[in-house]
Amino acid sequence: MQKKLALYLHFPFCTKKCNYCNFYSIPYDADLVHKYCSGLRQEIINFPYKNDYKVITIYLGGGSPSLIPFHELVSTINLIREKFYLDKEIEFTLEANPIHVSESKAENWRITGVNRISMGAQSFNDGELSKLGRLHSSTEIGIAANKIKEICCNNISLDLMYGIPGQTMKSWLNSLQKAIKLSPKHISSYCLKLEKETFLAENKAKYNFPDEELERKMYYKMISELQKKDYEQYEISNFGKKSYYSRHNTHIWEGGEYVGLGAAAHSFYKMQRIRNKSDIKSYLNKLKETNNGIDKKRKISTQEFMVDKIMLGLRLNKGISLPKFHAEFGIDLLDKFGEQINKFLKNNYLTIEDERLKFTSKALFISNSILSEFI
Amino acid sequence: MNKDNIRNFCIIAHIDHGKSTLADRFLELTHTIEKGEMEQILDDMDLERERGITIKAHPIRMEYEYQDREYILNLIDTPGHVDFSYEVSRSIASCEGALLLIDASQGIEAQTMSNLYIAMEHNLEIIPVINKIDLKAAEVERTRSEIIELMGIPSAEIYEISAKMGTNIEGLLQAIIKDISPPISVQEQTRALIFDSIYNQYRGVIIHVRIFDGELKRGDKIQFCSTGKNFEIEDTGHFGIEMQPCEKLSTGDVGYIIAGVKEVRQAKVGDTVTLAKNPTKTPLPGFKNPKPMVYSGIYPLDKDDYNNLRDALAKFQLNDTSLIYEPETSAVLGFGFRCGFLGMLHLEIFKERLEREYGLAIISTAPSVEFKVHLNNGKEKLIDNPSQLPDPGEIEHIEEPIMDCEILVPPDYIGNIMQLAHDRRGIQKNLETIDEYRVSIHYEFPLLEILYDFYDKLKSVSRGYASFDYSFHGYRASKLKKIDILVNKEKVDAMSFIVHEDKAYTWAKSITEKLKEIIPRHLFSVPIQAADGKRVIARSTIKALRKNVTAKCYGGDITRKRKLLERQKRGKKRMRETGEVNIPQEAFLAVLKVDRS
Repeated sequence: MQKKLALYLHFPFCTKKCNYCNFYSIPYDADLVHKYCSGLRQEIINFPYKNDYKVITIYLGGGSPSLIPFHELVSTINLIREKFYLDKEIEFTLEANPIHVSESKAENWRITGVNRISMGAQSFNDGELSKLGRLHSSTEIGIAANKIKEICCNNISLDLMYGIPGQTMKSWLNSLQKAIKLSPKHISSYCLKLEKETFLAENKAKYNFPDEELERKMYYKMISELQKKDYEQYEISNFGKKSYYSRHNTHIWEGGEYVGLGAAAHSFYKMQRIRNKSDIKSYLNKLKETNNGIDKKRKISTQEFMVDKIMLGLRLNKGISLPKFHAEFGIDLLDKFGEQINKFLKNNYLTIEDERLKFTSKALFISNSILSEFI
Repeated sequence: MNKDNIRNFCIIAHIDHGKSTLADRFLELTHTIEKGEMEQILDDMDLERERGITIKAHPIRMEYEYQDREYILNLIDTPGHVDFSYEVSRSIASCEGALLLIDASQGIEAQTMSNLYIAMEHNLEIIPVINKIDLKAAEVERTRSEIIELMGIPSAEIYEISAKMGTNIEGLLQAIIKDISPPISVQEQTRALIFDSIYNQYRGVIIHVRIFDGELKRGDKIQFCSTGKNFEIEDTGHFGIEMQPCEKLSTGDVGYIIAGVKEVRQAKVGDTVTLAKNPTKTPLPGFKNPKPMVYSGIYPLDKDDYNNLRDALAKFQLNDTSLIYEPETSAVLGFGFRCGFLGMLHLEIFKERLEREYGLAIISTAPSVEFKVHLNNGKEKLIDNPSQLPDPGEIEHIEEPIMDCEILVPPDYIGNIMQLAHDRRGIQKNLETIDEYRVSIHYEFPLLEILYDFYDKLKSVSRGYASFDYSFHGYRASKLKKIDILVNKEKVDAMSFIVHEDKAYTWAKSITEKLKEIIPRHLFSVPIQAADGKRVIARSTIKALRKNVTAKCYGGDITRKRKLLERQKRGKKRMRETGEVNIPQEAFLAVLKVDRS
């Protein structure tokens, strides 16, 4: 039987870096984009794959993959179709920035096979958007979403952000309402994190950030608001209508294998955690030398994998199946971590339902305090 | 060597006044080592060099020809910190003369002065030397008048040198020969003063001695006067750059003996070595058993390291007479040891060496002094661990150790010093004007008040000009009480402290605030209380942790997320748990950070 594999392709070009972003990205440059996409195809061609895996999802992330020229996109995806065995029901997501969405692009994506668009909305408050360094207005999000629905696909996910400088509970609820009005199938929502060397972190004194207590309220308010509109929370920061959960990410949270191609992409493949060279130059150089972009590769032990599985599995609202865990590792989770689990069960941070261990609602926003005891 | 050709001397100097550099010049000039061969050769412990101070005395023997006669010059080095003032006094007592070395840009400091007085008490010939005359900031004239004032000597006899530049060193070396008297013997029975003893893992204890009378040689049966124990000499020798065995040590000589002694406490500094077959009836004066002044609980950070800690302490003690320890248990810290030290520096060095040389991570409790507790039943109890203080109902009164302190300070800062002394319960005994630049103030301070940050405060209120020296005075009754700390309603025994009544509230308030900063937030709010008996006198609350989440976690972030969790986990491992609260190691030292104003 073929094992399931999620495929991730990274496109590290952006029109402009956002103020909160610390991912590797560089300004768009047509020449470099061509070199990069050729490199990406070289990596695909040379990837060691026999028909032992079935690709169940493709995820084009970035950067801004909505900037990829059509011919580069098509030739790259065609290569993937030739090389890999793709599941008939494949989920094919492309991350889009509202400013890049046009009718022709939406059409191109549809032709390429994209059936899910994840769009970075972040906020529906123009003041907040500008503080984040986003190049679009709140109205443009709506226009872009409608074009996608009309031309490309119905399966849209919106990214939202809370904890933005100057954000209030009122503006947050307003953003949530406006997002819901566009009836996306899925919403991902993140608390803004000040990452090192980002514009916001370096200028944090100039901004007024919501405090932890407000962030916490925003988080729990969001859960209840989304629930009212039938967006089920299935992961700490992810909500979907029934049968519209992100299959790509769910696969990863369940401990599934994934292959990341392109600069700065990560893989978990055949019990190895692999990281590609992160900047384009060294990625392309590495490809020239070895036909792969690998920077670091590390085999992980069953023990480490087991802990990763707990760490990731508990992110999911359905939690971890105790019988399945036992079947996979030959260890009873409740025995192995009895002391911690009992303490958290007693304090109502963990619960066991239908033989699944999961977080209670109040545990979600302090989940790292709990997870760190399993490390 | 005829004893008339021997000169035994030491250098009395404040830290950084150039003692090691001057010693280097002497070594070069006498060709004991060649120039640049070894920097500051006398300090051979890393730690000492890093702190710029000499803890252990290293004697060195130099040969020098002057006016067609061969001389032996023994330089006995002296430790440079008040914690080790007893060792200093024994080194001084081993000499006939001393160089009083003063930095021309700094002037005389309190510690130098007290060592100078020790040297004068022992009738040493004092050769005053002004160093660093090459510096722009050098105030030679002023330093000169300070020295004259202090010693009452005519100015012509003061040597002006620059050890760094090598200026006037040869003249000084010759002055040592001319001015310092050769050793004299006063009796027939052998007497040798132990001024240091160092444990060596291959040879046992190497006893550093100055022979006052008689001689010591291989095969001699010796006796230590303080213990009456006998040993047989296996080896004798001098100190060159390395140890140089020799046939015997005679009157006036400085050297070492090795006699199968296994622990330094069997050959104590200050003790007299005599011959078993014809022992002296009068040991050399001044012997004292080392007396710890500061106590701290030392616990392994990782409880599994208990045995390693115990072994390390045993090894330590082989080489450190002053360290005492005994097992102790704490509800929160587990099994550990109560250790006694000469002072705070001794304690700090001990802790650093444990980590550095033995790779042991430890938790130490706030240092305490030893209290004399008089009970209602007439009995007396010595308490060096505040948590052991008997119930207030049983206590008649408590006495605390008092120190005699000498503070040297420019007159402009007298007001500030007096304010500080008042805050620290100091009693002024005397104020003496040395010259227009400096006064000497004599205080009695409770040791408890000068233990932690006194020196820093003293420096800060005098813009760095004040210097300070102290010695034990005695015990005195005082209104003291114990304050307990409760974390999440549970008493943390290792955090109890003893304080003067009038300061109890301020300390309690400050500690609860400090602990609030040090103890991490938990999933629940944590009250921190300071209690005087059953009565809570100060409290603070650590708010519950409300956010600790990695909102975004995808394929690329897994390693990163894991690392974050590992960091949080590691942090916890370095803590102790009480009442479900994790307490980091530095919390046990919070009392050190109390604002005493």
